[in-house]
Amino acid sequence: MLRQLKAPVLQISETRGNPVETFSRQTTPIGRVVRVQLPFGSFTWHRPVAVEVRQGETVHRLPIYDTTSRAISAIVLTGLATVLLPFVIRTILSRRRKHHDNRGKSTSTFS
Amino acid sequence: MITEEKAQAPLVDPTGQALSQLVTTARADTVFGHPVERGDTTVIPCSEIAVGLGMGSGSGPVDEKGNQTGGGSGGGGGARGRPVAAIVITKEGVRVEPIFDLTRIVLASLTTGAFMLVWVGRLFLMKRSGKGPSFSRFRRSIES
Repeated sequence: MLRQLKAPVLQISETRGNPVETFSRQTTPIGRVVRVQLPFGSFTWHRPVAVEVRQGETVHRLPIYDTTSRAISAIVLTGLATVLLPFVIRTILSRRRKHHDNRGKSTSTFS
Repeated sequence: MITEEKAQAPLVDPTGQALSQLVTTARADTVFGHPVERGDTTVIPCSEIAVGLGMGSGSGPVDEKGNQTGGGSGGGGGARGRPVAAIVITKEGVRVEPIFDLTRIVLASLTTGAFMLVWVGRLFLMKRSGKGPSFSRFRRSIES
């Protein structure tokens, strides 16, 4: 019986670009690939993550930040927090108030 | 009858094309561009790429004679790419210059601002009507 090998659903791997040699330094860009494979479709996301600078024996790794995505995430999260926080605070306060009211009622019936 | 000319025509396989696109996306040279040299400065452009595809098929119910009444299949996909940063190599050293997409940030701010305005406005209206906001009402209003 032929047994098929199943590909993993989520694959994360690192890619390396062509090294650039300038001023006795070797610069290699590094990327990351996230691949999601499902029976009905597939998704691949490839983005740069760092630069590796090799000078003699020393190796430095400079991170590459996606400032646009970070700024957008911060804006969206701030907006959600601004909307949800008043709801959460008011719900907690009203529950506390209800709890106190019920306590008062129960003590009055026993006395 | 298949003529020789027709037989030599390239076959178009959309699934194969889409899969080969996914394989190409995983290669490093799709994200890192060719180094550009200007005097003592070398710049390597970096971009982000996302490719997705999906497909599905379905069939209709079987009639009294046991034949399929219908069926169909479809698929779709999309790709997105945008610049993220530039690696600048000079005599002094290597630095990463981020690319700030102001248009996207302004659009996100406007959308979030409108969303906040609507919900905070609803909150004040609830306060005025004497009914305190609740999670069940919040959920109901999202559903409606």
